[in-house]
Amino acid sequence: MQLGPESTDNWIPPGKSVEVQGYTIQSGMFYLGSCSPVAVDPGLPVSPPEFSTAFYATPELSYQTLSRGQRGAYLDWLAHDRSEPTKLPILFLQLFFQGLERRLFLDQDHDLELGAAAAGLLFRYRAAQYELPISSFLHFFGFFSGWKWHCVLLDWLLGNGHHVATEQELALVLSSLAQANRTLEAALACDLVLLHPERNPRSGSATVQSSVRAGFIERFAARFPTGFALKPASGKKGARYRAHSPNLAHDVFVASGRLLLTWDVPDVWVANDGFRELVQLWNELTLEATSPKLSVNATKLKALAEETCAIQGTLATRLRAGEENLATTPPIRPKITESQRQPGEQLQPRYRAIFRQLVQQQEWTRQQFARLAKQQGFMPWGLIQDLNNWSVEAFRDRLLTGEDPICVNQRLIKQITTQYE
Amino acid sequence: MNNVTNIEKDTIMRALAAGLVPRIGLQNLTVGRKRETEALYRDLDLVAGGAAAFRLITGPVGSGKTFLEQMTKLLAIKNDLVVVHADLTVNHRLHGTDGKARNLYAELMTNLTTKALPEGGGLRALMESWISGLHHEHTSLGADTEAVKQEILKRLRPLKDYVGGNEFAAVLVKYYEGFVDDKPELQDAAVRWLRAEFSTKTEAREALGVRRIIGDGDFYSSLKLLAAFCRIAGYKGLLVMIDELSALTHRLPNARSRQASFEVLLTVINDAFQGNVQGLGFLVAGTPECLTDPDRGLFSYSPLRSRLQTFDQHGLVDYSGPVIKLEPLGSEELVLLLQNIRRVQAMGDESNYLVPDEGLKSFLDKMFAKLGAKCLKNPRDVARPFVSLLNIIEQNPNERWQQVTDNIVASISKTTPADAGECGLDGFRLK
Repeated sequence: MQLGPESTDNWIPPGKSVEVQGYTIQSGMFYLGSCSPVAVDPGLPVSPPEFSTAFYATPELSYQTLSRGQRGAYLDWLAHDRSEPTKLPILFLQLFFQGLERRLFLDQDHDLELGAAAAGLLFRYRAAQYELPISSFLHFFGFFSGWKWHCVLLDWLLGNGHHVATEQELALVLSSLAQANRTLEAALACDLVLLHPERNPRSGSATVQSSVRAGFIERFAARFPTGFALKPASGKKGARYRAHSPNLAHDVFVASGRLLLTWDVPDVWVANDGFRELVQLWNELTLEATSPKLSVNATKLKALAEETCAIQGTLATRLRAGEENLATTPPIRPKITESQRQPGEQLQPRYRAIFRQLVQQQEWTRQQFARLAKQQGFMPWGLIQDLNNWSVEAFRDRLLTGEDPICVNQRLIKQITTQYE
Repeated sequence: MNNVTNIEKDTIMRALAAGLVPRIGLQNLTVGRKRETEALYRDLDLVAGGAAAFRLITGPVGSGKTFLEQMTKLLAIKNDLVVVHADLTVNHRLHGTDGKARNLYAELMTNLTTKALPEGGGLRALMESWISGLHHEHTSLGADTEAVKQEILKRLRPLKDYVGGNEFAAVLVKYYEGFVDDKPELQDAAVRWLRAEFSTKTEAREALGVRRIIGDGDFYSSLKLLAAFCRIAGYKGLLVMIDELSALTHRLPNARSRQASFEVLLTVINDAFQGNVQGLGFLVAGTPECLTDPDRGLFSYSPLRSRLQTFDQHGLVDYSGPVIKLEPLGSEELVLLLQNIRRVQAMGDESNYLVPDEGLKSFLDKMFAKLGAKCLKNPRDVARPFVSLLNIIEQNPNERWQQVTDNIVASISKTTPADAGECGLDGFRLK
């Protein structure tokens, strides 16, 4: 098809073949004409392609302002598979992308091929994402195309390692996810937190961010095993597209009366309490990552551990001195004669009768205890002292505890009974 | 490593969870301090052997003074010593004219501890046990109570060499009389006398017929007397533990009161070093300023300075000197403390450890991030949540230590009770 200059630019869709200055372009996705700066003016002369990465975009970037050699290079790029990332100057991408922007926002064309073209740019020219709002463009494209398509696009973007990088994108993404009844997953939750106004700014550095992100994903997964459930929005908020094309906003205003490139989207942020829970988790991790760590000297620790081991052994020996013959657990039943078969065999004979009486009850009021002691000719406190001295020596535990009531140690009684039954 | 028994595990874990120093099994929590501990039990051996000892432990808040004291107390009890302990306060002093020294003595008697009664309150038991023994010994041979009284006086005759020794013996006889004649009020009066709770001689004479009381000026002489009685009663001696020396050095506004207390301390030190007393040990604890402050510390009194000053240098410490200086706990000590707690929980069996080494480090890092250097200053702030961590994992084996650690650390307030003055193992209240 041979086309000449016209009064309005023509959008060349993919599949429609055009020939410009000897280049046959079949993939379309650009404007042909001489009205807008991004349109390929077929009347302008070209010379053999001149590639140079030294080409820089100017504010007046347009097809017309390109040199003949640059035009030749641009047409050459359009005519071929548009996948030559090494030599391609960024200004060609800008020119091409501005065409996509005009098509989406000015002409309101939601053809899926448009999204595919932008996604192709992002995929092939990864570095271009820092110069061009391709990702943002894609989210708006997805939003205009409906939440189903947006979710597909989102999955593709996240799957290819792209992040949601602006609040506007996030608003669109959350809106589509909420409509799709999908949960927020860990990677996206990270992106959300990084855009959160209450995020601890100490996680700004790449190193901290990387370590916090890893911890966040782990804890997020533990806390929300099926993802963070999104509550549907009840209100709306504006999401504004920050266009790369300098005249796009003006042209949209002229064409549709829309003052800004802003669209109302469901306000999922407010409905979910500003995602405080997530940012708190992030901030806790940031605090941990940025706080000074306890410094432990391995050599000193080893020496101290050896010292501790030695002193613990010595202390244990000291504190358990004389207990070698004590009842052990489990108790070993000693070989005892019939005459010895009675509780408290090491107890002095004068205490045996009162011992038997005492163990009949689990506890004694002080008055009862004093009466019992007195009946047997004992002073009550002295009796406690003597019986406990015996039980501590023999069984490492006290027989009588407390002041009022005075309790008989049932565990000890059980131990004594087991050993001497 | 020594084994941990079931009883020790339960007692230690319960006590630590409540912020208390456990009554038994303390050796399982000990971290380092080998030479300090050895120095202390050399002192105990001296006292048990019939000599005297004096030791001052200084260390900043949280360095483990109270823990070391508690350990010494356990060792002393094991060594058949009677232990009395009290904190110095403005109303409990070594010297006073208005009952403040008597208050300190009374407090010491209230906290008298023996093997049989480790929680204190052992004065009456100590006395009764000895008298009761005599009573049974003689009545079983057919002797009457009068003969027992004479025997009490006879056995206590060595106490006559001490100030108040006669009265002490007479009061014990009165106590026995109260038992035999079923006069509890007489026994109570005798105990009041022994606890220095009579403020006037008249009162004491009316109640017990003795012409003397234990007054403010008798603080040290009465302890010497008690130490002698402990040896007669079958124990090897008496260990007196006095904490919070700063109350004496930095909370007494009056320089003369301070100096008078310093003089009592000088007498104690002189007696201990010169061997003028038998079976009596003193263990005093305070912060380093209590010793070194040139205006208010013990060094402000030159006789004490000359006796207590040591010449340690370049990390070389003379542990035979009267002062043990505890260094603050460091991060390595904290790691070992947690390892000890973990070992106690697992009863010494490594295969039962609920948290790996990595978990200990993670817990400490998180606590450090939360509390900062305060967690070194107050080991209790770390030990208590760590015990909770172990308890939760033990009770919920399916819980991951990472998650429980996060939850516990998140629940910790930056302001802990330790901020209110209780710190570290020092802050563990004694049972």
